Amino acid sequence: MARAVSGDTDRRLLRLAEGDNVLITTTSIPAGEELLVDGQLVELAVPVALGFKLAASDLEEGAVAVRFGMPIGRTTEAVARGALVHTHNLESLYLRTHARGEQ
Amino acid sequence: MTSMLGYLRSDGRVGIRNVVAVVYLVECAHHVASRIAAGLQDDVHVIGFGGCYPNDYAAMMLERLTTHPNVGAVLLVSLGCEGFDRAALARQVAASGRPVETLVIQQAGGTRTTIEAGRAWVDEARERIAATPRVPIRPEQLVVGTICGGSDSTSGITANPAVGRAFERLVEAGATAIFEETGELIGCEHVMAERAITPELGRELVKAVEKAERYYRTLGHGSFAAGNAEGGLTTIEEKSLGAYAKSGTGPIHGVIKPGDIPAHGGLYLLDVVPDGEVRWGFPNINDNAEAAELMACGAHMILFTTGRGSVVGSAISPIVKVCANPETYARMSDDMDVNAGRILRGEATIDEVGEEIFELVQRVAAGEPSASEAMGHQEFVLTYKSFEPIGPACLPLATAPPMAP
Repeated sequence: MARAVSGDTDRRLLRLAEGDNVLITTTSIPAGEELLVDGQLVELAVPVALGFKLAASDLEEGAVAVRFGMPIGRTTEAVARGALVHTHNLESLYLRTHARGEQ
Repeated sequence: MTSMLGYLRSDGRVGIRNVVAVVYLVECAHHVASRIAAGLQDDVHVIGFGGCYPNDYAAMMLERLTTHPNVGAVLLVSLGCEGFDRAALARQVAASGRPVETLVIQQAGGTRTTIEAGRAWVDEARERIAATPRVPIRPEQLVVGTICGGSDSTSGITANPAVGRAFERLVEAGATAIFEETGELIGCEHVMAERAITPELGRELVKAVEKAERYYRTLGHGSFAAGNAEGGLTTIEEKSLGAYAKSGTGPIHGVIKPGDIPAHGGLYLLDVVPDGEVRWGFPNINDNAEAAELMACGAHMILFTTGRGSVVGSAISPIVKVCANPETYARMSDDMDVNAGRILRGEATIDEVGEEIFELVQRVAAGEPSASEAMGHQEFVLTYKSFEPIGPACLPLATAPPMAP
């Protein structure tokens, strides 16, 4: 896999630590926006609010997501670069996450 | 640190406020206690315990809270038939040198007469404690706690590391800093253990978090609210990673349990998860239950970080709000003391916001009201729990010569 430098990533996405495979949105971004993610242009499929995570690269099912250098869970399906990483495709290695029905 | 004047207590501790605590000893006395304090809310605070069955933890908590340095006088309000040992609590408060009175509603003639008698006593007590000697607060006498509540994904990027920076500054100055919620450190235990001042303490830190994981696993639900997911947090370990940042990066000097008051300045983890089998439900039913436990460990004020936008304050110890999310701050700035969301916008650094918090702690200690305090927030909750005493490895400084590490 080609390793891109952080300069190749949209300014609205924050990589908290070198080696992280998820990026944090620093502002709310509407669906359809094109974003540069590690040198590759991707179109955002859904609106993403401030503070959410996008995959920094293609993640296989069962991959460990790393934020700020720490494992934060395991993917439950393959996640494409630039796609939202959240409760629909990431599960805890410790305790199940509960969410309200409106999610 | 800048000069701060506090209220000297007989045990040598110094308060940053001088409130009258009106304490209900069962829910049946809550209304009467509230009516006694109504209209006097600036310096008359209502706390209490709702349960009718006795509980050692609740008795210990009310003893610590009624002899907290921010409390100058205490009015106990009992219905009369509840299980709480009101006479023992009154003796403990009296032994601390504070004015104390007990009103028993069933003996005083009911609601109206108890409210009248309570108001008369509170009026007189306020006059008496106005004469409490004022003395300069030395930095090593200050105890500051931290909580995160209504966390979102920004909490761990902005407000929590900024509080961590302020904690480092406070501990350097000699103060005591306490972080908590072991259930929100799941996944961080081994990294955290490396910061312990002794290997034995490191093992205690890991054990405390493992206990929390077992406890929450039995309950089938981590310390993770629906709003956390709506704010971009996906798993408990992701939330933990953010929560952990509140502790800063300095050495950890001990593990304490509710009611343990560290004898030396330093950084302490408060273990809030009950010991033994799971008996009492969730360790802390909401953020204010955690605030009460920090206060029972002597916290004069609490740095409360929030991303989603908590509005709570507390009886007895002011809560200072550090808002992590710039969009939340724009919506709810009246409720916030510090806008740490500027970090996300590139308008301030973590160091700068940490320094701002450190300065604000000193101003609030000197008497400046926090945002929640000025708006009259005085939330309080206390539930059933049980704890075993901490082991000898938990407080290495208590047996080592001072400043040994």
